[in-house]
Amino acid sequence: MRAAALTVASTVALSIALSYALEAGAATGAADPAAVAELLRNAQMWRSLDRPDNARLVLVKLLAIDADQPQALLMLGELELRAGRTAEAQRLLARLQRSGAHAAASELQDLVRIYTRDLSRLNQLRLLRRGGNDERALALARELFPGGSPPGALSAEFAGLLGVRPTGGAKSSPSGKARPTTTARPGRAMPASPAPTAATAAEREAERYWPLLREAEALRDAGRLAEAAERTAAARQLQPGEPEAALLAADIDQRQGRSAIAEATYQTLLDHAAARSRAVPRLIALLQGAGRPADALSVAARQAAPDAIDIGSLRAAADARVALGQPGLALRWLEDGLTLRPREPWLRHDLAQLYARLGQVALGREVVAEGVAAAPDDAEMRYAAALFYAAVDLDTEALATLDGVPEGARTDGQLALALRLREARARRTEAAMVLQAEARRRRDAQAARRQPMDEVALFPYYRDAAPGRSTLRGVELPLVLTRSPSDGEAVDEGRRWLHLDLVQLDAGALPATLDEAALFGQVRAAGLAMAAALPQRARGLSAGAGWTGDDRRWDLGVIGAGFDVPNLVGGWRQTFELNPGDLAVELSRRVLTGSLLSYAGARDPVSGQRWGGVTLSAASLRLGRAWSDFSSSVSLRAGLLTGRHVASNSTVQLRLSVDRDWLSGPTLNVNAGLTLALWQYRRNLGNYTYGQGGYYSPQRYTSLGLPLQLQGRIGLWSYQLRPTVSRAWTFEADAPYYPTDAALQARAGNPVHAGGSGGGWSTSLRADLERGLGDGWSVGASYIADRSAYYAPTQWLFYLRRGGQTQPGQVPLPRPLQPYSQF
Amino acid sequence: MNGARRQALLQLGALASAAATAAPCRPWPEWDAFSARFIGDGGRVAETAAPRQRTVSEAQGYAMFFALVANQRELFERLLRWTEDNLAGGDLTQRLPAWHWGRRDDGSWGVVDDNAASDADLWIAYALGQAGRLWGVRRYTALALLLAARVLREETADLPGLGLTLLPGPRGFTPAPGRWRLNPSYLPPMQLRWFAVHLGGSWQAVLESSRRVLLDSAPRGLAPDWAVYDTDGRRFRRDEGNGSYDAIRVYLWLGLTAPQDPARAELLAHFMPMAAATEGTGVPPERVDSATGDATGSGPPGFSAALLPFLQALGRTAALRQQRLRMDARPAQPEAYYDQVLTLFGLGAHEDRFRFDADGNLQPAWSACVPPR
Repeated sequence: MRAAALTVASTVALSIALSYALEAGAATGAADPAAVAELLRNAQMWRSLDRPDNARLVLVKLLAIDADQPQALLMLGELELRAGRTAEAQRLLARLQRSGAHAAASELQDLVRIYTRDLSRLNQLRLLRRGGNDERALALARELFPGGSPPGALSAEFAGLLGVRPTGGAKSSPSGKARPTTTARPGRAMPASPAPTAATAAEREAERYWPLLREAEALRDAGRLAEAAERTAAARQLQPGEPEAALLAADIDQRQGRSAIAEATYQTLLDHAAARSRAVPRLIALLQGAGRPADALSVAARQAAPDAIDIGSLRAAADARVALGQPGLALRWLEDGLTLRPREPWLRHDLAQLYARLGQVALGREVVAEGVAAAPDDAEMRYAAALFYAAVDLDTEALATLDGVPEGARTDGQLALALRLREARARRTEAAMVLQAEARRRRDAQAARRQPMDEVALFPYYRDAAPGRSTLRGVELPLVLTRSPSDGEAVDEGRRWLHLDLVQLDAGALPATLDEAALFGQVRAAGLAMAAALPQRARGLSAGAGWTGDDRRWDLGVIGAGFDVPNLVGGWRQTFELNPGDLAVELSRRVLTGSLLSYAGARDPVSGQRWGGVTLSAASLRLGRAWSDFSSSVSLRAGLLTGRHVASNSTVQLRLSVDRDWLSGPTLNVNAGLTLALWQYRRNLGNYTYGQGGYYSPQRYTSLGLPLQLQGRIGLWSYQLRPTVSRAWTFEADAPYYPTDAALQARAGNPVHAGGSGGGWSTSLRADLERGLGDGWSVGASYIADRSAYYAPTQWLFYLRRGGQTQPGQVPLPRPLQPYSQF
Repeated sequence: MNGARRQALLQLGALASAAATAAPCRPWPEWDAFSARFIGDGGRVAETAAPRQRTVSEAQGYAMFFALVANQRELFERLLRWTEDNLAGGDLTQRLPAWHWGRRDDGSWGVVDDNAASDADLWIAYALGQAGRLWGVRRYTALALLLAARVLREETADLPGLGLTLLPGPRGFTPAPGRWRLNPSYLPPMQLRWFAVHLGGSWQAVLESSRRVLLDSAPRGLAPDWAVYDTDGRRFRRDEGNGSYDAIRVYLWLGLTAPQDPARAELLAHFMPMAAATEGTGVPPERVDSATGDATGSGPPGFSAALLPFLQALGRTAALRQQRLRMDARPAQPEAYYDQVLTLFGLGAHEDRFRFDADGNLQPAWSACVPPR
C-alpha cells in the first residue's frame, strides 16, 4: 500500500512538473508533442486507476497549453459524462466540432448519446456482464454500439465481450481493476525430467506428463484452447494426484467460459498444499469476476489470503448494490473486505460513506478514524478520511486529518481538497465578518436614530388649469419632531414623531361668467350668473403623530383643521420577510390633495353648502422579490372614496414593476426598469359641480412607464434624479353634474360632463439634492414635475434638518421630508 | 477504538474478571439441544411441529439472542443472514422482516405474510445492538440502529392519552376507527429501557407509554394477550381480556428486568396477583380473565419456567421452589418449540447464564468466565 501511495505521489509530482514545463513552453508558443503525449498518458493512467479527479487536473493543464488537443477534449468529455455533467460534455463536444477534429468529435458525440439517452441500457449491459450473462450482454452491446467498437474508455471495458482489441493508445492503458493475469506458468521451475535409466512405470508416466503439460501451455498461449484442453486432460490421467495439470485445466476451462468446472477444480486444489497458494487467488479472482464477492471474501477469509481480493472490483460490486437499493449487502461486503484488508483507505472511505448515506454518520466517522489511527503515516488513508469528513461537512476534522500529511508529500488531490476546505473556512469567516459589520452598522444607525431630529420645510406647489376649479397653488410649512425611546428600551424599538404642518391653498378665482361658473357647485342648476369672480382659498393646520419601526409603521392625525372639510387620517403598515422577498400590508385613510375641492372642500356659492374633502380608505398589499439582478414588485390596492356630499366611489389599482441596478458604486448608482399600472374607478368624479369630488377618477387607466433613477454623491452633496417617460391609455365615462342629488340633476336638465377615451405620452421628473452642513445640520431641496397634455403640476420642497445623523464617513442620500398631506 | 483493539480489551476485561471470579464457562445443554433440533444449517429456526413448518421472525430474534448469550458468533451470523435474505428481501437496512415464512398454499416455500411483528423486530434489533457492543461488530450496531429507527417509523402511533405507542405491527391493528389492538407482551421493559437510554428521543416516549399499556390493560394484575385501546374513552376495553400464551411473557420480561430499573417496583407490585394464582394451585394458570381475575387450567411446563425470574424478583421462594420442582418432574417436551423458548429464557436467567443491567444492556455469563481450553 505504502509503495503504491508513493508511486501515486511521485507520478503526480511528475505530472505537475511536466505541466509547468509545458506552460513555460506555451509562453513561447510551442507545445512539445512528446510532452503532450506524456500528459495524455498520465491522464489515462489516472483514469484507469479510477481517479478521475487527478485525470481531470492533468487534462485541464494539458488543454491550457493546447486548447484544441482532440484526445484531451475527448477524454475530458468522457470524464464529464461519467460524472453526470452532461452540459459540460456538450460544451467540449462543440469545441471539438469547431476545431475540426471530426473523428474525436464523432466519438464524443457517440459517448454523449450513450451516457444520456442510452444510459440505462449501458447500466443494464454492465449488470449483465457482471452476472456473467454474456450472450444477452453481447446482443445488447451490439445495439448500444452499432459501429461495432465502443467509443472512449468503453472500448477497453467491453473489449473482452465484443472480441475486439482495445483500439488506440488512449485505450490500452493499465487498468487498476484488471484481474491478475492467469497465465499458468508455475511459480517455481518444473522438475527436470528424471534420468531414463532404470525407469519405473511411474517414472515413465512422469516423463510423459511434463512435456505434455508444456505442450498444452504452448497451445493455450497460442489460443488453441481445445487442443490445450486435450493435452491437459491426458496429462491429468497420467498423474491424477499431481496438481499442475489440474491448475492448467482450470485455467483453460475458465478461458473457455466453463467457469463452474474451473471453480470446482480450484475448490479441490484448496486442499492440496503445493497448489493451494496458486489456486486461492485464481479462485478468488474467478468468483469476483463472476459477481460473487461474498463467496470471494469467504474463500479469502478461510484461506487466509486477504491480498487476493481485488479491492477495485469489491468496491464496484458494493457500489452497484447500493445503486440497486441493497445497501445492506454492500455493507456486509465492505465490512468483510475491511476485516481482511484493514489498511485499504478507499474501502474505508466507501464504507464510511455508506454509513453516512444510511444516516449513521457517527459510525462512518468511527470507520475512517480507525483507519487513520491504524496507519497514521499513510497519506492516502488520511486523504480518504478527509474526503469523507468533507463530504459530511466536517470540514474541521477534514483539515485536521489532512494536516497530518507533510506539506511536501501531498498529492494534487490532497492539495486541492485542503485548498477547498480552507476557502470554505475563509468564506465562513468572511460571512461572519460581513454579519458583524452589518450588526455594527445597524447598531450605529439605531444609535443615530435615537438622537432627536427636528425638521422644518417650505413646500410650495402649483398647477395652473381652470381658475377656481382645477388650478391649485399651495404652500405648506411642515415642522417635524422625531424622538426615539431612550433609556431602558430596546434599540430597535423605532422612533416616534409629530407633524405640525401649516397649509395655505389658493385655487384662483372662479370667473363670474355663467359658462365657467356653471361648472362649479350648483350654479348651473340655479341658472344664475354671479356678481363677481369668487376667490377659492383655504387655510388650515394638519397635525399627526406616529411611530416608525423596522417593520411596522402607524400614524393618526387630522388634515386641514380650519378647512371647510377637515378629515381624520391615519394608517398602519406591516412588512414581513418572506425569504425570498417581502410582503407589506397596509390599511390607510388619506386625503386626496389634487385639487382644492378634494383637499379642503369648498362652499357652493348658490346654497352655501360645503362639500368635498375626499379621502381614500384603502387596503394595500405589496409583494416584492428579487430575481438574480432584478427586483420586482406587485402592488394591489382596493379602496373606498368618500367626501362630504360627494358621491361615494371605489377603486382598484394594480401596479407591477421590474427594475435593476445597471451601475452600482459608492458614488453613482443607476437603476432603470419598467412599470405597468392599471387603475379603475367605479365613477367619474373628476369635476367640480356639487356632488363631484374634483379628483381624477378614470374608469379605465393603463400606463406603461420607463423610470430611470440616478443616485450619487459629489463631495458633501448627494442627489437623486428620477426621470420617467410613460404612455397612458384612459377612458372616462360621462359624469352627471349632480350625482348626489337627483332632483337637482333633473332640474338642471340632466347635464353631464362629457367623458371619452384619451391618454398619450407624458414625462415626469423628480430631483432631490441634499448637503450636510456639519454639526448634524443638513439642507435639501426637491423638484417634482409632471408634464402631460392636461396635467402639469410642479412641486418644490426646501428643508432644513438638525440631528438624526447617520453613520459617519458616508454622505447620506437625500432624505426629503414628507409633508403630512403627502403620506 | 478499532475493532481489533476493542476486541482485545474485551478479552482482557474478560480475563481480568475471570481471574477474579475464576468461574469456567459452562455448557448450556438446553440451548444446544434446541439449536440442534430447530435451527437448520442455513440459519432458519423451523417450528417443525407447526402447520406449514413455519418460521416466525420472533423465533429468529429469540435464537439470535440465545446465540449471543451462548457466545456463538458464527451461528449468530447464520441466523442473521437467513433472516435478512428470506424475511427482509435481502436487506435488513431497507425493510422490516416479514413475520411469517413457510410452505405456501401452492406448495412453494417463502414469505406467507409480509406484515411484520414488532416484538420480533425489537428482539432482532436488540440482539444486533448487544452483539455489536459485546463482539465489537460495527455492522451489527448499524443494523440495530437502522432497524430500531424503522420500527419507530412504521410500527408506532401517537395514541391520544398514551402518547407514542408501539403497535404490534405496521398493518392491521385498528379493528375500528379510534380503536387500537395492542399486545402487552411485546413490551419488555428492559429492552425498551435500552432503546430509550441509547437512542433517546421517541424511544423515551415509547418506554413511557409501555408502562401505561402494561398497567392499564391489566386492571386486576393479570395481563391479557391482546388489549383493545379506545382513543375516545382513552381507556382499554374490557370485552377482550384473555391472558394466556402471549401474556405469560409479560411476567417473564418483568422478572428479567434489572432490580435498579426505575419502573420495576411498581410493575412487580401490580402483577403480584399472578404469583398468588400460581401459589394457590401450585401451577401457573393456563388462562386468566384480565377483567374478572378468574384463572383456569394448568399452564404447560414452559409457563413454570417463565415465572421463575418473576417469582424470584418478588421473593416468593416457596413458589419458586415449587415451580422448579414441577419443571424437574415434568420438563418441557423437546419438540415443543414455545415451551423450550420459555425455558431457555426463564431457566437460563435463573441459572445466571445472562442478566440485564439498569440500562438494559445484556450481561452474558461468558463476558466473565474462562472459556474451556
